[in-house]
Amino acid sequence: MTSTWVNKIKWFVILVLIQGVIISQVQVSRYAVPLLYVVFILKLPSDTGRKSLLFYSFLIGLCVDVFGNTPGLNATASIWLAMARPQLLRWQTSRDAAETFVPGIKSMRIAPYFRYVFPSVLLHSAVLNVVDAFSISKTTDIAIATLADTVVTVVLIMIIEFLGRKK
Amino acid sequence: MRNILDFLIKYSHWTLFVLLQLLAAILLFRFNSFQGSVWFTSASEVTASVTKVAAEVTHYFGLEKMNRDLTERNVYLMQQLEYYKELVGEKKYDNDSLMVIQGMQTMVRTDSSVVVIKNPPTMMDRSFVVCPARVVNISVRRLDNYMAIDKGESSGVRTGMGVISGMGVVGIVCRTSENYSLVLPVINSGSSISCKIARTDYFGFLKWEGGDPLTAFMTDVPRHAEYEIGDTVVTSGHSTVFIEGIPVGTVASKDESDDEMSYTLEIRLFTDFGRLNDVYVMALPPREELKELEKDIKY
Repeated sequence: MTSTWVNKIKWFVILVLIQGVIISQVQVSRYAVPLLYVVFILKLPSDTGRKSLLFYSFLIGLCVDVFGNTPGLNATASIWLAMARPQLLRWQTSRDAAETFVPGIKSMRIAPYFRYVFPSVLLHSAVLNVVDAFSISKTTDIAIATLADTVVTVVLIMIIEFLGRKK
Repeated sequence: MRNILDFLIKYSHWTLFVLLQLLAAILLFRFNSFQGSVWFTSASEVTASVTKVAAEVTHYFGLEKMNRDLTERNVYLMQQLEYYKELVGEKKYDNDSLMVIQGMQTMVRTDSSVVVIKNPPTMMDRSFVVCPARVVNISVRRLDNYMAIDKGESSGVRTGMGVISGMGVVGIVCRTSENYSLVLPVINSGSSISCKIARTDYFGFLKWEGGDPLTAFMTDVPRHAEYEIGDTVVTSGHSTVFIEGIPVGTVASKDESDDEMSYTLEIRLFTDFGRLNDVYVMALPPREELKELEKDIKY
């Protein structure tokens, strides 16, 4: 129990720092911002309650916001993802898998894991970009930014997953 | 009653969702006001001290480019110095040894070799103090970009002070903590800085509408204004934030304004926010009288 807590806090801090200090400061391109911290929300154990899921997501979103001077933006996107996660995860796991598990390639295999990660990240970056732009006149811009963010983030998450599996 | 309670318990996560969403929305809308708490920003003590470490590391990667810029700047200043030396040498000095250049700055000749530039007598009270600072956090991709610097109230930095760099104008301090400040840079859609075309003295406002961090717009330029592509734009000195003549950028092209009463010029900014490291905070003495006057005039 303690070790999972320590682990959780460790990853929380590491991901917030990577997102807030490195990713947001290094300008790769105008579009396509990798939203790596989303992996924290995606990898919470499958038995995490809806309310704790919401709470953790809001917290990590807010921390990332503070670094980027966007209070409320990432927090909003994160709680939307937190609401959708249980359903998205259920679709990709067999009905009789009653045991709790940490979503990943090992526990879910590649294809289902990808089918879980992709819509999750898509939803997250869509909410993020819509709230960020806050006007419908720039629909194509929002769509391009959403897609770019999603692709970069998903690729990054999958690479990390592969690297983590080899260990 | 019981049903309602059951319903609320069963869907309590929705209640939490709505609550958190409200909280996020409040944060989102409150932040855009010019003045507010420094707490949820990158200039708060905690976040700024973390990003400062990272900024110090990344600072080294930019040293080569910075050296080149400094050398260029040195050459430019040496040329200027030569130019002024010639000007000073040509003039015959009387005993009071004062001369006015461009009607703005007065050069006081203290002895045969040293030349000190001071403000002319009428502007004596407008001398200013600069405080060097380092950028610890900056965004350039967003519509409302912000920048955190490592000087705060303890160094005398206050809300409303101007920030410049060796390249040109940067922005205005909008929030301060003890040791850090948050700056509203030119590349924020809420920024508006009074500027003018240096050659012809026509005024306008410097605005930014997202996109390229090197391209801004000068709005409200009168239709009869004379300008050419490539003209330098500088600060107008109309505000209490910047002194007159700080470089802003060059005129790149003309956009017709909607109201057909004024021009909007596209400005190519001198300041490259993508590689901004060292800046200066400018502290002009407050012009209380002017502020009082402006307060009275406002509706």
